Amino acid sequence: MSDQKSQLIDHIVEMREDEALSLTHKMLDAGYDPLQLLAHCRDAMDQVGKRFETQEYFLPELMMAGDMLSQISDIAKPLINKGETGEQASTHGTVVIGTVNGDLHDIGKDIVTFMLEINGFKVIDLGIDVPVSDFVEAIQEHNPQVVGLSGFLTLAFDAMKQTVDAIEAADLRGQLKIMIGGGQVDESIKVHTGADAFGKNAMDAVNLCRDWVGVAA
Amino acid sequence: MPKVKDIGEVSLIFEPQEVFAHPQAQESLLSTAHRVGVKINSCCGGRGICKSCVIRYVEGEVPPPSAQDNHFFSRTKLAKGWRRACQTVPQHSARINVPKRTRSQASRLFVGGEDIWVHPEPLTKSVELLLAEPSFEDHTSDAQRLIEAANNVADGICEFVDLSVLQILPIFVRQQNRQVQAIIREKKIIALLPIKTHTLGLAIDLGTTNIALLLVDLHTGSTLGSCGIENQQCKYGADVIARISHAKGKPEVLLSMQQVVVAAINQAAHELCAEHALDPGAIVDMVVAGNTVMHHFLLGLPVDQLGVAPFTAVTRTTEDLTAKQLGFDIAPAAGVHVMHNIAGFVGGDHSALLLGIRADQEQRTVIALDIGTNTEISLIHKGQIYCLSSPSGPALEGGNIHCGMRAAEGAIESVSVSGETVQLQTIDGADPIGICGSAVLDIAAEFYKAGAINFRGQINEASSFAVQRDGMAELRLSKAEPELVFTQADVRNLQLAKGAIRAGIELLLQQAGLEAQMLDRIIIAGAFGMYIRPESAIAIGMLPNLPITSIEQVGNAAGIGVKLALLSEPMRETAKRLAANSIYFEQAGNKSFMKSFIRQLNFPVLVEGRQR
Ligand code: B12
Repeated sequence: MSDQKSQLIDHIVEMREDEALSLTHKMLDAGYDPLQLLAHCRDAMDQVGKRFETQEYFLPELMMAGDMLSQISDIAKPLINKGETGEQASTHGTVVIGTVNGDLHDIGKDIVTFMLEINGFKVIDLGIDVPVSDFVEAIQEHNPQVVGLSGFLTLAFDAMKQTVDAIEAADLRGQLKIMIGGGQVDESIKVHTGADAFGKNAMDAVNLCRDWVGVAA
Repeated sequence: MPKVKDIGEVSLIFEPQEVFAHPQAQESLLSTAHRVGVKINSCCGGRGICKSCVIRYVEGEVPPPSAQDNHFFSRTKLAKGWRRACQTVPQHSARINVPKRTRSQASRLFVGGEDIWVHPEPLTKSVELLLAEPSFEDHTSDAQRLIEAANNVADGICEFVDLSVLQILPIFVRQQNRQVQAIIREKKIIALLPIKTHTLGLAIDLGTTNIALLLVDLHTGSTLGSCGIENQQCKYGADVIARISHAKGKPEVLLSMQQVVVAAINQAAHELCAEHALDPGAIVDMVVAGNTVMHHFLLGLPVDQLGVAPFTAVTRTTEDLTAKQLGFDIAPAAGVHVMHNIAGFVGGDHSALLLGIRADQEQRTVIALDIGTNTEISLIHKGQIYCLSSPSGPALEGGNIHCGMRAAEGAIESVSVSGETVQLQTIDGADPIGICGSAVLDIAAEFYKAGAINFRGQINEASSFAVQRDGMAELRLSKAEPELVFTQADVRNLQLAKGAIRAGIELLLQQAGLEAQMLDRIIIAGAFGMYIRPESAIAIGMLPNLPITSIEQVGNAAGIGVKLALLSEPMRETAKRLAANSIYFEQAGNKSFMKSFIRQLNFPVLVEGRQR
């Protein structure tokens, strides 16, 4: 059994999609616990994330891994007994994230989302070109500890600032931290927008969130 | 060498030009330098992102490094006085050295390209006239006499005289003993010249980085002279978005964006004329082509909406303007035609390119592209043109590359790896001081082929070319000072750039229902495209795998297109049709583009050094 587990993790980490999927089928058909199987996938994702950090992997591998994960979830989820999801229990906290108004770049934000999720955060992804008011509404609805604003265009920095201002105006600033990131974002942009911190990559995002919610790495 | 004194007012001396300056309160060193005319490159527009403005304090108290510079330089470099000009606010008097790389002008202001001949059919007609002598018996005005004389040469040719001509008419006619050459456009006399002088036209390719000028004889169609200058807007940011954000909501900045370009063109045009002993006043027609943002800046149009989705332009076309309206110092009533934009960021420069390669007559299936920070790509297939602009980023121009620089003296322009040795070729054979775009492609291709970079773009630590720094592998190109390396982040930036270009090509092919192998030709236009090795572009998958012989590097096709539009009214009409009929694709928000982009980031599997 544990042999199958390490095989599955290996297939995913080494980007062998066909093998990973057929092994998934085989394991589930033989009655393997779908929750456990998904937990293995998360282990695999963790390793993929590490390889991304160490530059061994780049965006294509993250995308492939993400694809594999969602296909495997699609196969496994229907087999999970109701009420037994088990996933929620493990979240460290909630992050609302989105690419700010006027900016359509989502690759960077998607990676951040992906890495936060595999590191145990619940992420509400508002998508791209997100109006200021949508951020405010989502915060009111989900009560996140952290808000992440992504933007790649120089011009997005003003939209970031407006979003930060609006969160402040809605009296929501006290209960959460705001991080920003994307392409050219740096210390000076952080100051300009009034955010709490900026991150250069997805790992920074994870570390910031961990810090803020008080989780050890 | 004057000494630095620190009494009262802060004074700075910039080496090696020995220029003095007094900084204003809170002014960055970069702004001070620009204010007093010291050239310091600033690729990111002074936002502390790039390395193009590094300087060194050689005397005086060095200000503490900004938080960003603290990260940016090693401790030894900081101690030796290295700072970035945009990050430094001088507090004390000092002597500051501006190194060569920081000053370097792009030397490859390539304006040539194969000249193309077209039967001149300019919009202006010129007639030589002998005016009747005024007398007590003849009470007609000078203007009337002028119009009549013109109509005697060709009936109905002329009805009006431009105000600027009226203002010089009496003096000029008498100076010239009543023998003059009238330049007529749309029934209006727009200029008067001495007889036998050639009428001139100016064709301008207004690029984001460089401006190319061609001075053309409107009568014979020959190019009399050409030159390239740097776009003075560069100091406000290297790319169009940086400039948009600079000018956004600030009418005075918008105005200065227009003025610096016009002033630079005026100066260059006058110098060109002087070189050839010609009178700038004989320039009676002008055509300018630029991308959508350059177009807006030239016309002083607000750019606020251009930078954010859905990128709404103020206008795609304008009627012809006059030199005077825009501030060009040539014949005041000379027409200025600004080539029509296509859509989105694909502007009049691409219309010019399409005209330059005669896309209207193209029978084959062709990809034509102009590689830059934004890469405009067209697919020409069965009389249809599909186009888009791919955000390739500055990596291919040496930007965002650790040791990157413009294509200037001392820049490594090509690299080859054989066995254990790396061979570098620099521009003008100078000692290497940085890496320019064409070498970036070569480095990726050659080290990939040599196994020092794998297909995912990871630098192989075990490779003999790799060295470790801060736990990251990088490729060493030259050990001598300045040490030149190609970092892992550089490879990533190159991957993003080439991936964006290839994904753009694939998107167009897909829209037309074609596959890369069905292409007859790839035409690489533009100055950068002239200097790349197509083999390298193919090896890294930036271009599809076609036989090398189907790849054509044509140089400044846009420049040729502008010239054609200047010389010939039918060509100008053709360009307008090309612009109006091209089908534009927006990739923003296009999921299939994004997937394709990510897939194209890897390097292709090679068989004997070529894509499989
Ligand atoms: C891919 C791309 C596109 C794609 C986007 C696809 C998509 N769905 O995302 C498309 C084609 C749609 C596109 C469109 C445009 N683009 Co674009 N694009 C790029 C490109 C090539 C790569 C950007 C990218 O995705 N990088 C990959 C990510 C993963 O890299 P990363 O930054 O390392 O990501 C990390 C960090 O940013 C961080 N992070 C990201 N978000 C967050 C958030 C938080 C909270 C934190 C902590 C961290 C964090 O974590 C990430 C993972 O580690 C860049 C050029 C380049 N080489 O960078 C231009 C670039 C960003 N684009 C640019 C431009 C100009 C445009 C267009 C205006 C141009 C056009 N021709 O139409 C449009 C604008 C669309 C819009 N309104 O947004 C410019 C921006 C210049 C500027 N000064 O602003 C660039 C730099 C290229 C250039 N021309 O110079 N683009």
